[in-house]
Amino acid sequence: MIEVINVTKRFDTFTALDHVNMHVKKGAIYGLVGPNGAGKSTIIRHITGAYRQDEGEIRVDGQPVYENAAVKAEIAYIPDDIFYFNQANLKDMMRFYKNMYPSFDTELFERLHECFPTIQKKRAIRRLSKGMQKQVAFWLAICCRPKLLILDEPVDGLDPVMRRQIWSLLMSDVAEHGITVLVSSHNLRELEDVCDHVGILHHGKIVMERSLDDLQGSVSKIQVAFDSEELPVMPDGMDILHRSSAGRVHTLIIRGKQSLIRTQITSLKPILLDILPLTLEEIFIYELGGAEYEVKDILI
Amino acid sequence: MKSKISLFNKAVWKRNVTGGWGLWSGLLLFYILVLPVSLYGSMVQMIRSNVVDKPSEAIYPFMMVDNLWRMSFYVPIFAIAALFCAMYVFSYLFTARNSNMMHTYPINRLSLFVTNYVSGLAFLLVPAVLAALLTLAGGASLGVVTGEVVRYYMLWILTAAVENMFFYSMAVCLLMFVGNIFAVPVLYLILNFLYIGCIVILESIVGMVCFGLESGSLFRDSVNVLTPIAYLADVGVRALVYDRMDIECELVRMHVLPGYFVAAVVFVLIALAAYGKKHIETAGDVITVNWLKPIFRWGLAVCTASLGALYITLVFDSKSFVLLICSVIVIGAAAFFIAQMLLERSVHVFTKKRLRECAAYSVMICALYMALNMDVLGLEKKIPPADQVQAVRVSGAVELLSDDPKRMDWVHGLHSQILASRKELKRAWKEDTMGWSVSIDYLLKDGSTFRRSYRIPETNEIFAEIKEYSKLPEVQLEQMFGIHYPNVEVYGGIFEYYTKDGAYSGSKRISQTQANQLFEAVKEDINNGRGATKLEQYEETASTQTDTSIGNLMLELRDEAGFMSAQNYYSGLSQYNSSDLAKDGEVRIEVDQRYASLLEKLYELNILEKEKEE
Repeated sequence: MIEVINVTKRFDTFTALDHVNMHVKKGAIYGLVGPNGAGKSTIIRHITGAYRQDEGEIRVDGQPVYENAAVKAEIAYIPDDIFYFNQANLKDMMRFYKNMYPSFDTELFERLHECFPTIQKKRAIRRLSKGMQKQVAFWLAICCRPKLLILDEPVDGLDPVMRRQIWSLLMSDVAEHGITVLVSSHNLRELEDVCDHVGILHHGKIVMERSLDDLQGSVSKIQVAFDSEELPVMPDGMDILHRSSAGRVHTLIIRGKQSLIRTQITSLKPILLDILPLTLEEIFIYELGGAEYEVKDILI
Repeated sequence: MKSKISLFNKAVWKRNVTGGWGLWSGLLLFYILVLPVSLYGSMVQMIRSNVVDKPSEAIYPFMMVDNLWRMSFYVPIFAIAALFCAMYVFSYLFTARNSNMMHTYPINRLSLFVTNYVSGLAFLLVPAVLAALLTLAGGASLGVVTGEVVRYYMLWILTAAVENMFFYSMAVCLLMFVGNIFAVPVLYLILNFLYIGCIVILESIVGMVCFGLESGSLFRDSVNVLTPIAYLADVGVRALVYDRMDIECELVRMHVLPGYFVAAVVFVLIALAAYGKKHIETAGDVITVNWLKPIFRWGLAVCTASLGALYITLVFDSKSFVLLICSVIVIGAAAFFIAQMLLERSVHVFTKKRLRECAAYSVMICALYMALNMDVLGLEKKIPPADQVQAVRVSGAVELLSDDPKRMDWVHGLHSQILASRKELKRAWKEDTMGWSVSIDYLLKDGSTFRRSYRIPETNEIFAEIKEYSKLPEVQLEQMFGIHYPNVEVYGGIFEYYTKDGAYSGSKRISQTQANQLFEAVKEDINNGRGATKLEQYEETASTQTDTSIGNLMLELRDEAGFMSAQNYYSGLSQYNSSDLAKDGEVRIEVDQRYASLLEKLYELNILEKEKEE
């Protein structure tokens, strides 16, 4: 759905995006993560067609997005800092979106009022709280019936109940209409529950891009205990990213297939062997921790 | 999914109209107040004060000209309204948030630009047209709408449309290069006065540094089409013959409107091209285009330095070149970094790169001033070749206006002599030595003018020569009776009486015969060296501190070739080639004891004595 090919963007002497390559499949929920200033919002503004890249190419559904109104009509975007016209209320904005987006669903708009009961349609949006303004943005974006939904730090400012409700709305939209979602956040814990693909942007470069399943399948957390307190010599070729001990129990983070790791460790006759699931946060720490990346900035 | 090119976007248009109601309704209210309401008020007032009986009589002149063609009132309103409308419809360009979002909507820039441009233009034009039509309808109901009235209303609508479009397009164009909401009005004002501002600055620089070039020496007609807000105030319709129901009008400068329309189109095309290439991330920046930033930085530095240096030299009343150059460097460098701070929106601008650039600026500005001071361009030394001169005028110590080759040769020689003594005179100028100013104006054959002004110390031999020349009888007579003397005919006059205290005590009409006799007497006095030159009169008044004049003799004369005299300010060189030069003129002679023949004749004709006895 989204192809970002070798994109570079400079702001005067500062290179915000440095030969970025990124691919988002149709129907995927792609989490774009990275520390503050990594270039997440910049790449999103390129994908939404607001910015023009200095080099490279950006395609959405196979078409260049910049200055392409037809492509942009399929995209709904919720920025971190939401824009509404001065003095506009929800009805005004709805009318604007209805005239702007050919696929705007007025019936859905009316139905969704049940999900956002606290929002008064005739109240100026600027007078609403930040969280409520965000709800309005979601309301309008969903009603545009987009093929691609782009969210920049989407649930900041929402209370936990509304967060859950919004994600649930989005998930049902993804399931029903197969929309693609690109969501940017610096919060890995939040993305872990919703994303199926993840890309890490750091210093204007995509340093890793994989499906969550691949990531979780490629690194394992092993808790193992042997008769002796000492950890025996591990088999050759085993890629141990991290090791720690507490008495006779050793915790190992090992890169590789789980089945192979289990076979290899079982051959050492452990008295305890447990393979635990890794959080996204842990995966990034162990995958990138040794590669001079400031992972601590990603994990907050 | 190829994008279809659509030039107009309904959503943006509706949004602009509903969101901008304050602007267009305000303009509509304004035009209604100044057109139909004002018309009705004037009519009621005139009827109430019994100036006229019928409403139609009261309303007709207002319909024709009074109400409609106060362009000096309307033009600033057009300019300000155009700025506000442009700022409103393109307001999203001032902040990154709004700008980013507007450009993510499914609309391309061409469509967004066209829709916004049309919206703003409609805000400006629709209220004006509606109010004009409403006034016309009001006039029609009172029966005062003639074909001529309709014609002038259509012309007004056309004029207002072109002028509004021009100012609006200029503001829109500016908005494509300026992204800061506070910078836009300032730069819009500067843009409106850019030409005249540049001239003032250039002339102040030249006037400070170059000998003989004072304000107005390089450019005489500062307000022209390039200062639209001032120039357009004179475009319109003017009443020539004004009688309540019989008004004859003329079109003034209306021929410039197509030019302004073309300029508006050019502004729009530039704006559109700039918008197409605009980087949205520059929203909020004072200057959004990189290539303009050095121009802004250097321009601000040069202008501020020149004006600042002018202020410093005036405050210290000094013509010292060292003080001038020091002021230019210090003020210029400060302005340079202030400009950079505005561009970067940060005070941390003292980088090595900028310090080097500022040093380069200082060297260049010094070089410019040095070059002017050393007259590298030859501005000080320049005298128009004699074969290119139509006429000359000398003012100051001597008043001379002539197209006689003999006189022009003398002026040319005088100018050469002044330039030959340039160093000495320049020193005296800088030291403010007592002297007389002498301005020399040349009217060249191509219609242009050339002016230089000097201060000649009284002790200088050039001053003595000027004094001698101005005493020559033929020079005096030509300056008094016009450049075509002796081909003039005196046909009357007035004698004004003064008391011994110098107070006006009445006047007497003089017949043609008497006037001719007095004319002959004046000529006789001057030919016999009894006339007083301007210098002599001034010196006498200054030394005696008393006014010795007995009265003023005003002779009315006719010059079939057109009367032009150095004494007459309004018939100077600017009128020389005028086709409708007035043939009738008036010569004023301050009569004192020196004019022996004239006094005798005045007594003989009982003009003076008789009145004295009374």
